[in-house]
Amino acid sequence: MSIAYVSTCRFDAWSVLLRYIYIPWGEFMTNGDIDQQEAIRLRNQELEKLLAACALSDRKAFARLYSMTSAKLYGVVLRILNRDDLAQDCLQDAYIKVWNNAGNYRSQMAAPLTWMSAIVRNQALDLLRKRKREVMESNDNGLPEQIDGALLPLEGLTRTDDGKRLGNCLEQLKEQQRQVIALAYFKGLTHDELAAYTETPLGTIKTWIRRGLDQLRRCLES
Amino acid sequence: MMPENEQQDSNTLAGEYVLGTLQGQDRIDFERRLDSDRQLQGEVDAWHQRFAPLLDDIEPVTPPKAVWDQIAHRIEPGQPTHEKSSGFWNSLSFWRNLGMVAATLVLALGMTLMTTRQQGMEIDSIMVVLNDQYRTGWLVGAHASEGFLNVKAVEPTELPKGKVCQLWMEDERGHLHPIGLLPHNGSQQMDLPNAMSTQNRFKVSVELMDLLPKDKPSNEIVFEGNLTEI
Repeated sequence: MSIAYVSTCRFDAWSVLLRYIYIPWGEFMTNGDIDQQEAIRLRNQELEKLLAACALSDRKAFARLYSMTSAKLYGVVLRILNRDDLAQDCLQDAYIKVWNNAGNYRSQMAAPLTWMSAIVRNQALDLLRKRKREVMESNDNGLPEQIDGALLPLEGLTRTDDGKRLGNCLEQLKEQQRQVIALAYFKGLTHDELAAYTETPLGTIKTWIRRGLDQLRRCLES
Repeated sequence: MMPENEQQDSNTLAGEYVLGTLQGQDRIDFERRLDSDRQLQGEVDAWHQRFAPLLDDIEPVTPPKAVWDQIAHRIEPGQPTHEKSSGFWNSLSFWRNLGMVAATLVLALGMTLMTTRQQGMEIDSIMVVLNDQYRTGWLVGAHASEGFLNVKAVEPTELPKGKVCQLWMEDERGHLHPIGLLPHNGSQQMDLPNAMSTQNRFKVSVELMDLLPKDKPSNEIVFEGNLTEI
């Protein structure tokens, strides 16, 4: 460890957060966009502080965090699980996870809601996989909540700049590529399951996903 | 420098990891690399960010009140707050920042966490103290009415043996008062020297453990910041 390096670290911690959230293309935005960005920045700032307080075991801060985020995250869980009872149990476990791991949140890596959404999504996918195993063990072919007609919320990607950009890039993929990526993301389907569900050879599925991801990355970075 | 095709492979693997299609031994191997490979960690984070709008744009739905009641009950002091399921994301790799912490430190953190949980005090304001990597080194929560701080180590700066980080508070006249030593693990409570204000500035210096100054830092300030109200 270099003490000299430490000595360069002289600034207020919250100014770092502001730097990460700052949007450099402000001059091209309308007043409405700026207001929205400012609202997001302030919300993120508050969520960061609440997560830090949760890490220090402040239950009141956790209650506030829940009130600010639970509708958003419940929407995510419902989209993945499609069943109220499962979604409510899943949401409960996900928040316990947030409480237990708030000290592991790193603002440099993701916005607070992105981090929490990832926890919720993974919790929901875990539950789907567990139910899948149970169904396989009972030789039951039905898994109604896993695959349904409303599983691709890609057409809703129009509310934010990032959403529009991702939506545009997904549009450039082949329909099948888009489908398998969405099925994997929202329903936790493996390569084998995707091959079976779409009645496509396994090798083709792997190629679709690999190329699809590569295309997506290039498009988003361009 | 990594060849372009190798870089591309690792990027696509990171994408498949986040997507969830990387399974079995490939996933285990990937997570093993992820524990120590900062570049790979960055790629995984980037994929989380790329896919984030898929979740961000989902319509919010207010959950029933019973969900919060259950959660609130589970975080009551004395209640076990273990999680029911244990999927891949409970692995060390998902919480990879913990991977940087030695096993003994994890144990110490857990013990301290249990103690502070039982107290369950509300925090008035908070400060993030950055480490030498510009990451969260410590969290400082102020219980102003009670006159003390709760300081928790997150990723403390690694210091040579015999050196410690000392926390100071600056009063209105610019005088520094020693508050305590930032813990290398776990949490620590520190008394405040006088009636505090959220305006008070805090500073951190690196000192020799055996020669701790009482009047002013003997070495330069490595961090300064303020508490912000929550």
